[in-house]
Amino acid sequence: MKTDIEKRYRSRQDAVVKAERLADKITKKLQMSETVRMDVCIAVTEAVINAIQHGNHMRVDKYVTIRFEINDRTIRITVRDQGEGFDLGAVENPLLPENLTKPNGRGLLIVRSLMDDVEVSPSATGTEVVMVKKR
Amino acid sequence: MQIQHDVSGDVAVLHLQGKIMGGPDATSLHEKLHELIDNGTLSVVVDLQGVAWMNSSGLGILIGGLSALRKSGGDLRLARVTEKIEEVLKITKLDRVFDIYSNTEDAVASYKS
Repeated sequence: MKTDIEKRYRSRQDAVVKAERLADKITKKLQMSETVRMDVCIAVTEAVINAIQHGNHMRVDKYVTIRFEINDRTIRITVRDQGEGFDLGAVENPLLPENLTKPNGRGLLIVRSLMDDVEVSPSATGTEVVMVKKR
Repeated sequence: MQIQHDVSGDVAVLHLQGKIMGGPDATSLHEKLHELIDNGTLSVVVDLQGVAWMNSSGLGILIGGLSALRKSGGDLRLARVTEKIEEVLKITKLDRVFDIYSNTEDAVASYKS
């Protein structure tokens, strides 16, 4: 059986809290383990922060769309912004000694570490992040 | 997120409760840390037992506080880090940047040694 849930938020800071609440509610309903639920919630907040801050540059006329696709084996989450994309190769490695004490730049690293499969697709009409977690 | 502020000698101990994910919760922690720094506090312990998880926004605020304090000759040390936060600290290698203690008493005492 497959279930899809999609929501759209304006690029405001409260979108992070709203998306996290939705992820928390969905993963609770699916009776996922506490640790897997935390992984999903953290990854969702990271992807939404990147979308509203780096993608949409906090412009409230731009939206972030989040879609949850649930089947018997996985939860697949897609976060899409309306920005202009970015050069994935230009993203600095937050683990380099010179970057370790910088206050930002760790979001994607955390997403890639906590989720089972992650794909980031920047384009001129927005960036799409697809994250998959086994249930 | 709730922040309870205790003082032990010259050490400020912040007991955090809730999640730190980048909304108003993150702002209140940022403001609290900078209020302490502005008031001349040099030694800070952040007790994370009541925080199930935090994301990169929370880490960024703690790192910002740590950098500002170390610049002034002080430090920010972590106590009672929960399992998921420990995992995130390891992923980001920040477990090598922060001094981490299993209880707040040891974290406070570490400033006296």
